[in-house]
Amino acid sequence: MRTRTFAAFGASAVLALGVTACGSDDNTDSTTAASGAATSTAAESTPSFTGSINAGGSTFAKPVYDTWGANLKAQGLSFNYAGTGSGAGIAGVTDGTLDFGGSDSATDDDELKAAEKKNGDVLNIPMFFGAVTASYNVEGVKTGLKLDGETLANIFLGDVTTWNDKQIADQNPGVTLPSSKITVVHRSDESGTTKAFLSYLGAYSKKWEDGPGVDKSVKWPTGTGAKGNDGVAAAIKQTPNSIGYVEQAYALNNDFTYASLKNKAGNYVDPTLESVSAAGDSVEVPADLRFAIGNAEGDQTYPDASATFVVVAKDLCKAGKTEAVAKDIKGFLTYGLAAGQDEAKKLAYAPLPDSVKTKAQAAVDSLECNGAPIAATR
Amino acid sequence: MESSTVKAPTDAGARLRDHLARTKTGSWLDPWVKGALTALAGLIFVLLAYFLIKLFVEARPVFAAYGVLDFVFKVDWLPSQDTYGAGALVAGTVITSIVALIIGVPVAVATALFVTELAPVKLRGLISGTLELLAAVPSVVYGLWGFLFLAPKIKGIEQWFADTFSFIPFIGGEVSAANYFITGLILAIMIIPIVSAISREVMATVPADQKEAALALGATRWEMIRSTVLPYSRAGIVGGSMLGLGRALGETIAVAILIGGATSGVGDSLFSQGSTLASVIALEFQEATASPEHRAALIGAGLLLFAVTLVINAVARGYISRAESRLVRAEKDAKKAAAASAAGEAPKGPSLMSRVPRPHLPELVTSLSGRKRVDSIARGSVGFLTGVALLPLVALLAFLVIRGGGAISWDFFTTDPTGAAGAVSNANRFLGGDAAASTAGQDLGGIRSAIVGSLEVVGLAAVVVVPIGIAVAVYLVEYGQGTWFGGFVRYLVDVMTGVPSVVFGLFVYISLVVSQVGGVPFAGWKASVALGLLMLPIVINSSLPVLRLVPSALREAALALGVPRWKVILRIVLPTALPGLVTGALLAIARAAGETAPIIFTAGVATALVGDPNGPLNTLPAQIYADVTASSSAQHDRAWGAALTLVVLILLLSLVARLAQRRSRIS
Amino acid sequence: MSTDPQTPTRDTSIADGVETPLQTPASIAADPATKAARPAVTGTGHEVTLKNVKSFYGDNMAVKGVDLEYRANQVTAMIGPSGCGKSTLLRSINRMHEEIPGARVEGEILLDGVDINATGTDVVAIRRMIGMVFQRPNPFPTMSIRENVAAGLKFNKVKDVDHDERVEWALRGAGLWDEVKDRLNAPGVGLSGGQQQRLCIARTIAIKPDVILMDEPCSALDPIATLKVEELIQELKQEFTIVLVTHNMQQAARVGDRTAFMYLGDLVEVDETSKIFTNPSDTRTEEYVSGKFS
Repeated sequence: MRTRTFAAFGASAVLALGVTACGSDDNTDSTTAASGAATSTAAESTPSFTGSINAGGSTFAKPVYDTWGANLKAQGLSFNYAGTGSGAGIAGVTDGTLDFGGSDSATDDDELKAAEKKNGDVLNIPMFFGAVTASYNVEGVKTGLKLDGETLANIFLGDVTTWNDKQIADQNPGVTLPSSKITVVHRSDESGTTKAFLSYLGAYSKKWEDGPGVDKSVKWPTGTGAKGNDGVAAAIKQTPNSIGYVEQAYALNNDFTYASLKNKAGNYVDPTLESVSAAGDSVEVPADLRFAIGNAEGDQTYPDASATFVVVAKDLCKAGKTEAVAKDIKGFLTYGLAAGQDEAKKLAYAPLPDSVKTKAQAAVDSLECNGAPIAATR
Repeated sequence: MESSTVKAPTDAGARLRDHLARTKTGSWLDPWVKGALTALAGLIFVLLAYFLIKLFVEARPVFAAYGVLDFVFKVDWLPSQDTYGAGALVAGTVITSIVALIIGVPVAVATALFVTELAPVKLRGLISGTLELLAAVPSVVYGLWGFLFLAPKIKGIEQWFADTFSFIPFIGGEVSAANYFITGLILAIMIIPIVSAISREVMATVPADQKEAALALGATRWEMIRSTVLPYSRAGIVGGSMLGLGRALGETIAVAILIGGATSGVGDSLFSQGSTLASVIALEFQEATASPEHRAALIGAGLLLFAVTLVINAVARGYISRAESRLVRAEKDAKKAAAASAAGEAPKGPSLMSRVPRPHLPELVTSLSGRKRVDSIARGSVGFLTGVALLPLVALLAFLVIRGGGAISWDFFTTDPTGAAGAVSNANRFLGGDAAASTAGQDLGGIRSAIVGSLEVVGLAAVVVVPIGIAVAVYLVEYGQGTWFGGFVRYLVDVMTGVPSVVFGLFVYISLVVSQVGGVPFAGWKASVALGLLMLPIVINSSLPVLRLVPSALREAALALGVPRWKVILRIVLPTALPGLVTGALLAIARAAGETAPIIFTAGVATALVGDPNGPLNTLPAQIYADVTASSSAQHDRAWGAALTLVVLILLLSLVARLAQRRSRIS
Repeated sequence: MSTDPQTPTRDTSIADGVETPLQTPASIAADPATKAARPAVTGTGHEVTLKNVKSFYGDNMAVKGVDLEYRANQVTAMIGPSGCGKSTLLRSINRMHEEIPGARVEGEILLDGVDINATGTDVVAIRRMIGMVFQRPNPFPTMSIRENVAAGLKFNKVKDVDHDERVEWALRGAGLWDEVKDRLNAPGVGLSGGQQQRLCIARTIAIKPDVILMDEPCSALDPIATLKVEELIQELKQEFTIVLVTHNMQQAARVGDRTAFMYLGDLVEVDETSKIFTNPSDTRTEEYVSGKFS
């Protein structure tokens, strides 16, 4: 099988094998891998597809994946992505019901262990960054309400209950705040967006850290829940004087107003492409690519940014996928890390910094089918 | 009879022996046909046994870890911390069902009274027709309407109510957009058609002589209703309400859309968020498969739901059959009395008149004008409640037609939905990017793949299950009558009827999807299996009475002509029952076409038009569910359009079913 | 259940005015299809002899050992009060009785000397030789008149007979041809009650059985229709051996060549009809025919 693949796919297969050969020992630190990845990316700018990918998970990343899928439709890809939440995305990879899972936080050790029990090695591949916005629906209050982590935590703890509470008012001189009660909206499903948001709250509020804690789902002290970014967005839209957290694309899509959050340097920063990208600049990426960009250093860094990951079995065929699907997955991810980055940008997500992108592509190139590297073009 | 070429026999006996030896009657097939039908009926047992064992085995870890009582009553359901006490879910199930009964039953009974006793004849057909129409609306459409229209509209009223009556326990506080009350309200609207239909049936059986006796004693119309109609039909009303309760308990999708999904606590008021056993299964099953505890807990919740529904349905059937047997007894009495009087004998025992219950005329209201006032108030209230019932129902239909009609165009039916959300234009505005590049992402597309997928999934289920269902019904009527096995299968079918559709969905999910039978996890044919499990008892139950109606005289006539039993079934029984069988099958198909919960567990997510059922398929209910839970109004529009399409398809099926019924040759 | 409300009496004035369009027996006998279907033994009909026949419903014995001879080309009328077992006995002869769950028949039932109640005998083949007409007319509702008559031929895949010819023959034999010949494709259930019963008789004779069992064939008919069927029975016996169960003693007297009286599951006596009604040998028979009990 291996020799036939060699013969049929020639140079690019050799390259891919080379990458794997180097990368399998050490995924992160290899100049050969980096250059190999760059070359293969160029060669595969128009990959063609044969079948369908059935993925799901993170609703945070869904708009981008769906757009990528739509763009690749002309090349023969049938792409389906179920927005079921990051938890479901990881679960789907673990039990094999999904071809890959989307998650906004890298898998934690327990999840990785569970997933690898059945699938062998499982990779976390970062795809792009996004901002978790604290969106609110308060009449007369525009985008840019200034909030720090502790105030936000107190709101979600139910300690700050009205919009004109002193804690909010002190940070926002000159803004007329109503005395109406705050309705908190949160996710009801297991969500990477939640984990990213709560890690911001937890960083500034010991009460939060010790109470509900930081996880994909927690015991909420107050508020109403909704499923998915979409559900939270719909609930905010329907509920006057509410506040919740959604990925920026959802906030923009619904014309929401959202807060400027106080970062580590003490500045209130709006979620913009620049401020989110900045969060990635200073990040240290470990070998297994499991990192987070919340509350990062930098003057103009948005503190509630999140990277989104594709969680996927390293040996796709051993995890039960056909070779054709394995090829399609590799092609899809390769596209996403190349031309797809611009598409993400159009949807107000921040592209990966080059250094991270190289490592991500190396990880994509290390995907295997029954121990052999996958040729991404045919 | 091919013995015509035989040599002339020497005597009559030899001729007969010759005939017996040579005639091919086809009767050798009889034991085989009987065996095959018995095996099919046995299949029901195997299926149900496997179903129960599978659920028990899968749920065992959670019962082992918590104990049954703790699992059922402990309020502590927190998947991220791996704690599973279903108390809050049980409470949510009970609360929403009680709300549904408190609101739904009086209104349903009032409509039944209005239609059978008070309404002008012209109105009767119209009202019961409207109610039947609403029984055909699938639950995802109720969820859609409740979520997008009703919930925002009545939130102010809910808040006012909560503030005003905050002294009542469990009322007050902040009203959440999604809450127990709104869920219960939608459930009430959903159960009104079924409770009303059964109440109407029972009320229609109140003997006219009893009613006339009351009126002749000078009772007002309302007094007549109170003294004869209501007491007489009480058992039927209770039974109908229990059936409604069974439906409310197992309802999934509408609840999942409306209840919010909080699981960690019961909440502090009727207007808090929560979860039910059914909704938690639908909302969490995808997250649960990676964690064995979570998965076991959800299956435990499914088992619990199944057990409760089973009990409720059994009690309901008990009440309804009591009401029916009383009717049969009354008819027998009447016949006996008639026969006796025809024979010129004096009726033995109590006279006809003495068996009419003496109406309990309210003694407090002595003046005629006072009684008249009570009468008109009561009749007015019944009429008013009927209006209350019809109002949301009419609003739902009107909204469906207006909003759905607005979304529909030629392209709507001829293009597939695009996965890309309509986020692009706003993002571009935010980024100051070019607007031209954004138009591509804006197009949501139509629902072609959903329509085709629904036809595929439901069609596949129907092609397999309708023949099996009819075959089992044939077994029960032709062979199983009076045998213990027949009675046993009959009971199993009743049990199967009570399984909430979400539990079937979960069952197929754990037994076919997760184990990747057929090489793929989610697949259209697996959705067909789930729908088929749902349809099977419906097909059997609707075929049974039709087959029983085929006069046994016809069977005997054919048997006496020297036709083997299997041919009698094939050529006489089935053709005679055909219109009724078609009606039953179509109604089962219509019911399955609107089911959402089993489909989201099994068919996966797809947008493109797919022909191969061994892979994810889009369906109308799944499309509606996905769109209603989205935040963009363009997707909401598509949900309305898809809902209208689905309802029209289901109504067409029901209409054809009605026409088939009208063609029936058996009266 | 001890009451028998049925008391139709023959109204001679009406009966005299009725035309009876019957085929001559000769034309039936000469029908070529008769021979084509099964070699008929010209001149001699077929006999049924019962030897110690017992019929059970579960453990309950409804017929308690009957020995009886049904003579060829005769009408044997079976009378007796309700529940005496006469219908059960009748249904035992063509083994319809055992279609009831738990029901069985013991003893020998000899058709032309062959025991058709022996194990291993194909009941379906037997029923093709012993036709049956029921209490209430039961034409197949999904079929036209023509299809009803031809039903037995079609179900049994009889191919060497011209169905149309046989339908006409059977309808003529049942005295129905002139009434329905213009609407053979109309549904059978559209006929009147009496016509329906004659249609059922036509359906039965169309497969040319040896014996015809009739289970109170006139009990659902009005007096005029009853008369027509009775006259038809008289004609049919030229070709068939007929067993007639009736509640109506006048009918037995009018139609029966021999009459059997059953009581409480036993055959009390069987004899020439005139003897049963004028000079029965058993007192129970006498009490019954004289209306002392019913």
